[in-house]
Amino acid sequence: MKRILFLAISLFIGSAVMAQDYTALNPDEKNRVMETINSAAANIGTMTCDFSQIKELSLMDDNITSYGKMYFNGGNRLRWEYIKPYHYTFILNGNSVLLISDDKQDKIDIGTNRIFSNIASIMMGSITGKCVQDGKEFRVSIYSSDKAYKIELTPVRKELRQIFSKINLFFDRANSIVNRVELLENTGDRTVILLENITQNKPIDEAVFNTGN
Amino acid sequence: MKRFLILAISLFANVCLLHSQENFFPKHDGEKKSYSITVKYKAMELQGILVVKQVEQCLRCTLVNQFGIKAFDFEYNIDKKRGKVSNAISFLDKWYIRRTIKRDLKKIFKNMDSLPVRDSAVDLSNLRLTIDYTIKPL
Repeated sequence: MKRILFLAISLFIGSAVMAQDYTALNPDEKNRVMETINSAAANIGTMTCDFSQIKELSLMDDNITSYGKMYFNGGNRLRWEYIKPYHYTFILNGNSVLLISDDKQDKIDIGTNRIFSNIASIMMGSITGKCVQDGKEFRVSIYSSDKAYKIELTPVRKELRQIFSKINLFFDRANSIVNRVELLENTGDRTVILLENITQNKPIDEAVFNTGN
Repeated sequence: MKRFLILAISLFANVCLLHSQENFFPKHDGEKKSYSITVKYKAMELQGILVVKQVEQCLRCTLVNQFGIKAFDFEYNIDKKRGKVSNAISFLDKWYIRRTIKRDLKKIFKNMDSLPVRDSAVDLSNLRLTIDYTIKPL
């Protein structure tokens, strides 16, 4: 009896925690949130933050976590740099991408490489919130909780649908800034990216985005 | 004499550089290790992270790119010496690619106790298809 009671209490606590869930917004509320997020995205000139990337591996019921730093400077300049447990840097500047690993550098023209152009547009669109405006690329659903908005993006294009089943963006309600990105893959794995120590509209040294052009 | 000395020194240096390492891959139930992996095929070069975990008598592997996107899963049964590729990303999910991955990774794990380790990395070449693999602990 004691065991059943314990189980019932645990289940109740578990469901109470889950109940802190997001509720779907009606069309009016959805438009209002879209406007807020779009105007916050339009005001992002520069952005820097630390990130941790937690990759959930379904096959081994385990995670791998990597850490790094992100720099974004308006339009199409992005530096996504992994520091731990490996060094790997992705720099996007206009149409050119520079990949830097421990022992080599590779330069790629994203105009001719669809995979990298997809990665670049998802990364920039997610962190700035611009993905939300992109009706051609994603079907957008919006949910709300006390502290955050959850934007659920379902890829429309076949190329993206082959990799991701959904991309979830979580915006802090207080400042409409993305602080969590979830990439749900068709293979059952999930990648969670947490953005921390976010600063916006502070000058960034242009050398950070140098791709050697 | 001088030539003999040079030969002896270079042989010694090679032995130091090239040795098999029994604990390169996980050896115990629950043990997990991560590696950087480079696959070269013709002019193409792919880099990623290979995570290997031993679960009972099985080595479970997942290959992801640095951004965390999975390329495929691979399971190798140590007792039965059998391998299986699953959950391959769509552009790799072709029978001939799965077969090549399966054969090459099986070869690596089948010989995992005697693989030569050079500069802390394991190299394997698929001579027929000219694919080169380099696996290095993170």
